[in-house]
This record gives sequence, C-alpha cells and structure tokens, in this order.
Amino acid sequence: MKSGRQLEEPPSLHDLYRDHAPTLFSIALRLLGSQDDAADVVHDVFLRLHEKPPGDGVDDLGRWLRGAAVRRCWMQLRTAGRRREVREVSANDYASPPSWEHGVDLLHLERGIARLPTKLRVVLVLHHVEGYTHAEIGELLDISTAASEKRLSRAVESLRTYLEGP
Amino acid sequence: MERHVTRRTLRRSTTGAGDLSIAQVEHATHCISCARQLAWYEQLRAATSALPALAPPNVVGVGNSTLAFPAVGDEGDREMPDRASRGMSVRTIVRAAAVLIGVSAVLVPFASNRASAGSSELRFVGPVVAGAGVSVVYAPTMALADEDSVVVRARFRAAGDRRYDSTLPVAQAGILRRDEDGRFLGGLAIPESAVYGLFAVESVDAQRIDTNFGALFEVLVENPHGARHSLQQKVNDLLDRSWEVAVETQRAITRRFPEDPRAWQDLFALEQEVVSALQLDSLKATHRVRLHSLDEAVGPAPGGDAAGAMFWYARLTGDEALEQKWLDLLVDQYPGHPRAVEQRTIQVGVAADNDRDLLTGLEELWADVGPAHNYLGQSAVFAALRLEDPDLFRVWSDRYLITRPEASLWVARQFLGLAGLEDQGLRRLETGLIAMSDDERRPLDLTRRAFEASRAPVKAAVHLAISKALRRTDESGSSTHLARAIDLDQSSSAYRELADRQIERGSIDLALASLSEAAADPASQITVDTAVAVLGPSLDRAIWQGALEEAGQRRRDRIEQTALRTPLPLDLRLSDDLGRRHELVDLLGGGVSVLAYWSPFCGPALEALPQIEALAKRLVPSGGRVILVTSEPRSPAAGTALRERGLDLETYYDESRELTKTLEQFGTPAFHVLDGDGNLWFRDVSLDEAEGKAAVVTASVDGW
Repeated sequence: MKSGRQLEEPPSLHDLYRDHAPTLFSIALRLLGSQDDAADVVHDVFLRLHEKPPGDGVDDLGRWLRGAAVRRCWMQLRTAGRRREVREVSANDYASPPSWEHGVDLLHLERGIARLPTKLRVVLVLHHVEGYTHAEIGELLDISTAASEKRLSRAVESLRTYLEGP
Repeated sequence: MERHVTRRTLRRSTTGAGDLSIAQVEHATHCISCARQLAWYEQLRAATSALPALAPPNVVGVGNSTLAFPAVGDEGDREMPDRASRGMSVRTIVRAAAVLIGVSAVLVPFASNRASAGSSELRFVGPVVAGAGVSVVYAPTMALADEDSVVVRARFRAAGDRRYDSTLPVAQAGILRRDEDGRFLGGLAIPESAVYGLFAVESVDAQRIDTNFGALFEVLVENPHGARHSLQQKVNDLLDRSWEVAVETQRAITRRFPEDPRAWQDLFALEQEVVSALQLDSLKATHRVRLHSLDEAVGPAPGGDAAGAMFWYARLTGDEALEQKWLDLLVDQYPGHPRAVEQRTIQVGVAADNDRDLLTGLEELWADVGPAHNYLGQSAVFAALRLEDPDLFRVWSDRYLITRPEASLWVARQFLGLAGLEDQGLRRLETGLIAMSDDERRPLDLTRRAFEASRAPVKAAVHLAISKALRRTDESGSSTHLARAIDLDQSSSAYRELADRQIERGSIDLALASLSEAAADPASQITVDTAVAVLGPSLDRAIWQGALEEAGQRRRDRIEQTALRTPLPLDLRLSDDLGRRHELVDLLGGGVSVLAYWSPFCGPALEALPQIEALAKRLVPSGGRVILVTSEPRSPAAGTALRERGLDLETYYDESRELTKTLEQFGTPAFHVLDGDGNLWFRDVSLDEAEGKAAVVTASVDGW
C-alpha cells in the first residue's frame, strides 16, 4: 500500500525550477559576484538534478539544491584563483529593493559583503544570510568548524571596518 | 575585578562560536562601551539576515519585474541555442541543453539597472516601468548635500531612437526633498514610450550638477517592447560617453540574441573602437567565422534589418563576396529599408552626370521610398543648393528635415541666401533662436552657464544671419543682432559685417579696427589688398599691419586658451593605398597638419571632400598640410571616391585604429589639428575652424 505522499504527482522539473531557481540564483550571485556565473551554476545544478536525481534519502529537495549550488560555487571560486572583480551591487539587483533596517543601509551592507575576500565572504553569506551552522559550513566547504568560525569572525571585523568608514 | 568583554569574545558570541559568561553579560548591561560593541554585532547580524534575495535582472518580460524566469514556450526575449554550432562556447552548450531538457528559457543576465557609483547614489525603489511612477532615494554628493531640494533631469530613449540624436529632449523628471537623514526622497515619472533613461541630479538653480563622475545615472525601463530595446538604446546612448561600457552591453545583447546579425555587426563595429591593433586581426577572423555561420543560418528571406546587418557585417569584416551578395539581396528584396536606401542613394550619385540628373534620380527614389534615410534628403539638398534653385531647395529641405530635424537652423540660413526664400528663412531663424535656449536642449551634464557658453558660437551665427537679413530689408533691429553676435563669439564674419557698416557711416578708423579683427582669422582670407579695397587707397599700410598684429595676438590668446597640446604616441602608423606603413610623425613633415577623417561610405564626408582639398591648398604656403585619414578597411573604394571627384588628395588608412582610438575619433567628417612634432592641439574641430586653429598653432609653436 502506497502512502499518500507517494500517490501525489511528483513536481515536474519545470515546477522545481520555477520554485527554487530564484533562491539558488540569489545565493550563487552573492557568492560569485557575477550574474553570468550565477546563472551557469543554477543551470548546472538543474542539469545534474535531471541527469542524476538525489536518492530517496533526501526529503528536503530545496536544501539539497542549495547545498549543490553552494558546492558548485565553491568549486568555481577555488578554481578561479585569487583574481575576482568586485561587482557593484545596485538596488535593481533585488526583486524587493532593500531599505534601511536595524540601523543599517542594506545596500551599503551588500556592497561591503561583495568586497570581502572570497573565503570570508562565503562563510559570512552562508552563516548570516543563509542560516547555515558552522558545522554545516565546514561540511559543505570541506573545512573544520573552527576554521569556519574564525573566517566568520574575520569577515565581521572586515565588514565593520568597511561600514564604519575610514 | 570586573573586566571589559574582549572584542574576541564578543565576536565569538555574535558569530555563534561561543557564549558570553554570566559575568560578561552582567558587565555588558552597565558598561556603555561593551554594550555598544555587543549592540553593533547584533545589529550587523540582524541586518545581514534581513538582506532580501538578489533577483535576476528586472527587465525581462512585461509588467512584472520579478518574472525573470519565463516559462517554456513564452514568446519574447528568450535566448535560443546557437544553430551555427561552430565556435559554440561551453556556456552556450549548457544553456542549449537546459532549453532542450525543458528547464526553462534561459536567464541570460546583463548589466542591471545601474544608478550608482562613487560617493553619491540614485536608488530606484521598486521596478522602473514605462508609463508609471517610481520612488527614488538620492544620497547626495558633497556639492548638493546642503540643498533643501534637488532636481532630477532625465533623457529618456524610446524604442527606435537614433544614436547621437541631439534632438532628444532632456526634461525635469522630478524634484526630491531632503529628509532628516540628509537623503533626498521623491518620485519620478517614467514616460509611456521610455525603454531607457539617463539621469543627472542638480541644484534648483542648475549651477551644480551631480553627473556621477560623468557616467550619469541610468536605468533600463521595463517596457512592452522587451529588453532588447532597452539594451539597444543603452548602447545608442553610450556611444559618445563610454565605448567600453557600450561594448560590454553589446556583448550582452549578442549573448541574449546570438542569431541576430544586427547584434554581431554592432558588436564588431564597437569592438574596433576599443581593441588594440594586435587584437584586431584575430578579432576580425573570429567575426568572419561568425559571419559565415550566420550566412548559413539566416536563410534567404531574413527581413530587412537582418539583411542590412549582414551586408554591413560583411563590409566591416572585409568579406567582399558576402558583402556583394547581401547588398544585392538587400536592395532587391528590401528596397525601402534604410540601409538599402542609403546604398541606392550612393548608386544614384555615382550614375548621375550632373546635379540635375542627380535630383531627377533622387526624386524617383523618394517617390519609391520616402523619408527612409537621411542621406537621400541630404544629397538632394546639397545638389539643390549647388544649383541655387530655391524651389528645389525648399521642397527637398522640408523632406530632409523629416529625418534630420536638428538641421533646421542650417536650412533656415540657406533660405536667406536664396531668392524668394529670405522672409521664410528669417522667420525660421528667429523661431530657432528662441528655441535654442530651451532648457530641454541643455545636456544632462551641463550647468545652465556652461550650456549658454557652448551655444554661443551657434547663436552668434544665427544673430549675424538675422542681422544681415534685416539690413537687406531695412527692418529695425539689425544692429542689435550684430552687436549680440560679436558679443557672443568674436567671429571673423561678424567683424567683417561690422566693418562694412562702419564704412557706410564714414567711420574709417573704426572700420579699420573691425576689419583687422576679421583679418586676424586666416580663414577669412582678408589680405592687405582687400583692406585697401575696403578702406580706401589712403590706407596707411603700417597702421594696418600694426592693427592686424594686435588683433592676431588677441585672437591667438583667445584660441590658445582652449588648446590641448597633448603629445600623441610616437609609434602611430598609417598605411597608404599600397599598404606601405608610414609613421605619423613622418607624414606631418614638421609642419602643422589638419587630420581630416573621412569615409568613402559617408555622405557628409564625401560632400566635404572638395572643401578639404581647398583647405589643403591654402595650408601649403605656411608649411601646413591636410592628412586625409580613413579608419575603413583598405579597399579600392576610397581611391575610387577621390578619383571620381577629380580630387588631388591621397588618403591614408588607420588599419590598426590606434590613431582613431587615441583621438577618440568617431564619425566623419572630423578634423583634428596637430603640430609637426605630433602634439594634438585641437581635437574635433569643424572644417570652418580648422584653418584658423592651424594658423594659431603655426604662430604659437615656436614659442611653446
């Protein structure tokens, strides 16, 4: 006897793309700083989903997709080397433009994040923006939990310097 | 003993790496320093977690800015896989695969609506949609920070607007008020027809402008025509502002529309302006491959735009066989397309034996296609002018103005010289003079004062023309207009007119002074014999010579103030007809030279050739010369164009485009004045100014 869940029509790839691609794009763009590269990562992830879907053990597909996107981004950042152009973020990069919240100009904050060194930025985005724990970040990036904590600490310090100005 | 919480502990606490001890928490409750530190980290953590999602660009689709991932089968600006698979990039293959597996039409990002850089920022709150309003927040530069309110001026472009269109109005889009935080808030109205907008923020008195370091603030407008038009208009607007950004934008268009020949043709045309000589050959080879793949892909009836683009793409890449193939197809299948009309106009000109024949041929062409391309009207207008035929000129100038409304003042001035059209010309000039000061004609980056200064020579010419016309008809106001012309721009022709009137009144001394001011401009060609003829045989030549030298010095001082004196690179080379390379310094020959840029495919440049030849002859006595340069590929077309006109001119080719890029040269005809050592003194001067400025360089160069 099949469970109710199994009887439901599985979502099509098109539906999954519609539901998850914007989120993946946002993560990838924050990590990579390039719209082109972010779009490529999103498509890579969905191609992989199509060709090699995750096993039955995965019950949160959204999380699986985000993890796959982060890993792809990380691979790309590691192979791209040290050179990276800092892309200026503008209000038009958002579906809902950011405003001042918690006493911080969010657009200014976004620009500060974009300027962080890659290793620090990735950890800060994953921890503060995407809500990953240090343990999860360590697993995703193949680094220790302590390294993740240290990088976040340095990222916050750099960000503070940027936000408070010279 | 109670101690401050260390920054490290605070950081560990707020980064989730460790907790504060009870003692530390208690300490922070009454220690202002620690409380502030703690609050700051909490604030940052809250703010980062509140960051909204970054979205794909919001100009995809219509009406819904978040519709960035259109569904399969949606029509519109969807990128298609490259049918011509040669040269297909990995990225393209991945995207093509994504389409094939039905994921979606593929998101191809392009430069987003960028409205900020540097210290100030103009931020759009919400989507920018044609026909709607949008709220903006402006963080000011220091120069505007103390204002209570600022004005946002805008130039909006509609789908189909031309490049370099000086008639596009600039209008006030909104007024922003300063809030307590020092930011300026308000709303802007986006016109229904807008696909692209460019903005500057200025003080209410228009004397201080934030131009965003010259880049201005821009936005791609969501519109019913699609993102293609927004991007195209962005490129069109960028051409006289930033070649590099224009190229980047055009590349984005090719990524988005890889099957569109127009996109590739435009890209190569733009790339030539920014790449180095070393890159140019390989770039051309790459584009030839693209040209051939497009040639196979577009099919025999691709539409006029595509056919015109294929023809021009083939010409740019030097593929003569494909150029001829697509020209024939263009003219045969799409005879009314602007590109076809331009070529048909050239063909009529080549076939005509005289101006009457030319006008007959152009009349037939007009009956067939109407105002499809400005070159048709322009060719006819010049022919009618050469024939001094008022009726033909009136008819053709009205037609010409349909495609070139910015030529209205020039047309009006020609009316004044043609029998029976003087009154109409005078009325048109007076109307034009009033319109010339319209604030909507003021460029975004010019203060009101700078705008007035930039318009001075044109206004002076109009005042002079009106003055002369009023004098002929004995109407009042003539002297006022003449005085205004001299006040605005001390031109030779205005001083000459003044001298004539002073002689009429018997004021010979005053006339001598005025005539010497006029003669100080070598382009006036006023010699001592002319002075004797005008002022009378009793003219003391020594007095004349003294007055002339003083006037000449004043004129040189005036012009020298605007001189650049920029050394050009020493290794710039040009090729001759046979492909031999010459260093620019050798071509200059130690004398002052006017670099005259032309193109065998540019109507106005072809029209100017006889005047260029005359200028070359006039420069010889002073050791100067004209160097005729084209940045078109070396081909028989240039030599043919010169021979057909019986001109004693030799052209050089800037095959590497190094000189062209160094001069930031675009469009023909264009003129630049250099001294014999290769220093650029004056860039982009008019043909009328070139001789006078060359003389200033000749006189000044020894003392520099």
